[in-house]
Amino acid sequence: MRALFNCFAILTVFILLVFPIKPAKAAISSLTITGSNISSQTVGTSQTTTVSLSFLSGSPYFDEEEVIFDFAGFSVNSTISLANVSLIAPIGCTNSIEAWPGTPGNSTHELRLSNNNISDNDPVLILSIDNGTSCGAGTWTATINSGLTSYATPGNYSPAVYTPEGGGSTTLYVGGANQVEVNATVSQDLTFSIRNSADTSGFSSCNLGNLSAAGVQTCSYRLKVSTLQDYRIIIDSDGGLRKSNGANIDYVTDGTVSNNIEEYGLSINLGTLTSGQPLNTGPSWSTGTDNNPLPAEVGSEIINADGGNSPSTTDTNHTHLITHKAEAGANTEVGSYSQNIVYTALPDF
Amino acid sequence: MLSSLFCKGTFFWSVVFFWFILAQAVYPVSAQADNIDGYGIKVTPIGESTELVYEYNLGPGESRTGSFKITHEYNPEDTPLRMTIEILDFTIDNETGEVKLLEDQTTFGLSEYISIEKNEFILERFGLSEVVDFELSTPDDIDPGSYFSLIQVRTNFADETESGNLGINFAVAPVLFANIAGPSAFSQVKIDSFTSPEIVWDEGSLDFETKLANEGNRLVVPEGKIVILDRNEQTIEEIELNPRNNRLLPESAVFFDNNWETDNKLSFGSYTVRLEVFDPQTNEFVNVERSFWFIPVRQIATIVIASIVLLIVIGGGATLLLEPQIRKLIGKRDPNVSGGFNEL
Repeated sequence: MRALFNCFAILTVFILLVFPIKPAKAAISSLTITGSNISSQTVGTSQTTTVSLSFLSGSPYFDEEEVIFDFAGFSVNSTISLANVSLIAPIGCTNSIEAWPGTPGNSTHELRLSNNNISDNDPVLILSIDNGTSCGAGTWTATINSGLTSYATPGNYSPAVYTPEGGGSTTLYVGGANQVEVNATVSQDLTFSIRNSADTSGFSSCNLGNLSAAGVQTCSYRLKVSTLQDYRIIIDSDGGLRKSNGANIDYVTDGTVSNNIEEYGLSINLGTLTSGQPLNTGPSWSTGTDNNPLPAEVGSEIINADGGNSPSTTDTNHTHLITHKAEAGANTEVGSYSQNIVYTALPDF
Repeated sequence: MLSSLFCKGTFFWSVVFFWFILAQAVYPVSAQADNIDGYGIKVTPIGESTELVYEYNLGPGESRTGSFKITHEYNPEDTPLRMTIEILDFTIDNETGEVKLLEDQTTFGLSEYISIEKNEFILERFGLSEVVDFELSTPDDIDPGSYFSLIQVRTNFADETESGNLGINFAVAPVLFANIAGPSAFSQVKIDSFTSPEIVWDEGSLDFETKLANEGNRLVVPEGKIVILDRNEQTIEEIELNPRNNRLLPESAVFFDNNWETDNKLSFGSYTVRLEVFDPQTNEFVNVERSFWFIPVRQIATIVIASIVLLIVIGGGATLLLEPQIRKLIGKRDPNVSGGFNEL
């Protein structure tokens, strides 16, 4: 039995050594073509250009495997040689190239050129991998630095890449054959409102009720902004939550408005932006369940949005819930306490 | 009897048609009501500007004009909105970068040079709007540099003083910048701080925070980039520092938060992060460098486990191959052994 197991183990090692397991091939992605004079091409005019074909490989490529870069959509105006070509391979893989067949095993990729003479169209680079064992997954970019002109004939062309894990192509629009110039202006409007906590109606007065009643008293409303641009919201008040004689309800200092302790603060629950961009409270404010002291008479940035927002007519996800919390203590003066608050929304600058 | 009268005869349908026409005349369907956005006051730039941030370049003693429109889109839609306009100066907190409104005139305040035709107007109902015209006029003796303010247009719901309630109002505010030309106007950008990760354990997003300060008196839109370099000083990636073209105001600081998705562009090793920022004063880029290690723990763990498994397999194979030879060797060297391997 033991001998059988050992025999099986040896056989397994032998097979692994002779036929190494290669990772499953993924697929290429992010295939792009970039270069000078290829996006502003005018009809009937060919222009000299430098062009790069780039893609992201999903798996390693091994020695002697081939990657083919097809520069469709370009004519050759002077013979392209190795000196006109550069390569950027994934990190850890050499960028060096030599003319095919070169010297296999010298960690310099071999490169063949076809359609590379004057008056040829659609030059092709055939790269034979030579990096010792393999080149890891990552971005490959082949560039033809000179010798090319973009096509004068309007049309759609398909530069392509063929690799061990499959091929792909992209579309190159030449000559404006199917381009229509559209000019339009979108002005940067900004709409702002205070809404009730359900976002069903406008809101302008917040009643905290009887602070002497059991429990912390609260009232809530929502800040609602609609704009295509980054924005900020500033909060300003005419003083503290106070009586006409100037007596203030103390600001909360420990992040929590507690029962039977004279304290006043507000909490901020941020919604999200429909643009998906980051959204933060101002540096002096915290979000979530923390109760922030509301500074009197200082216009302070309470919300900072790094993107636009387009909330629905009723939308509790893309609006910001503000909750005021107050409580009276044993020494709180009897009477009516009031405060006026202004929120200002402005475009970021 | 009645049902047959109403349903069979033309009398019933005539009555229905009559009331339908009458209802249309008395209660016309409102297209506006069908298209209510349903909230707020809207501010829209008009005239030459398409933005709510107005920036003017002018000399001492010159003036510029501009306009924007305020529209009632509040709900309930029949709520009259009394709007008041106030021109407010603001500053940027140098420690935090936040905007702070000030009622007092500041060094770079523009409020005293801005005039508007009226400070108050009423929008009676939904859909009505009012154009606000403003004029910026600088005196002959104004110092060169940048000045800024905002024009706050706010609601005036009930003043809740002494009512026992919180009065909540809201406002929109276009922002104005004026750059006054002159030989003493300058911008000087310095890197206050730059933080980047020190160790990166896995593929994902790297976060960078930059704080720039302008020690000049003229605003500037900072230009710069964050460059990731490998150990051979080869560029892996370049990240634009200020893609939104945000302004850095005079004698102020601004923070930039940038991030970069590694996207399989890193392999095990150390990398350099170089922040390059253009300083208009010296006309040169100023640099700060940080470094980080990329240690892909998941990949390393996978390799280690695979290696251990391989060693076990190879060890087993080697034992199987060499065991008879070893036993023979041992057997030959031991003169006391007289028989087969089982006797060892």
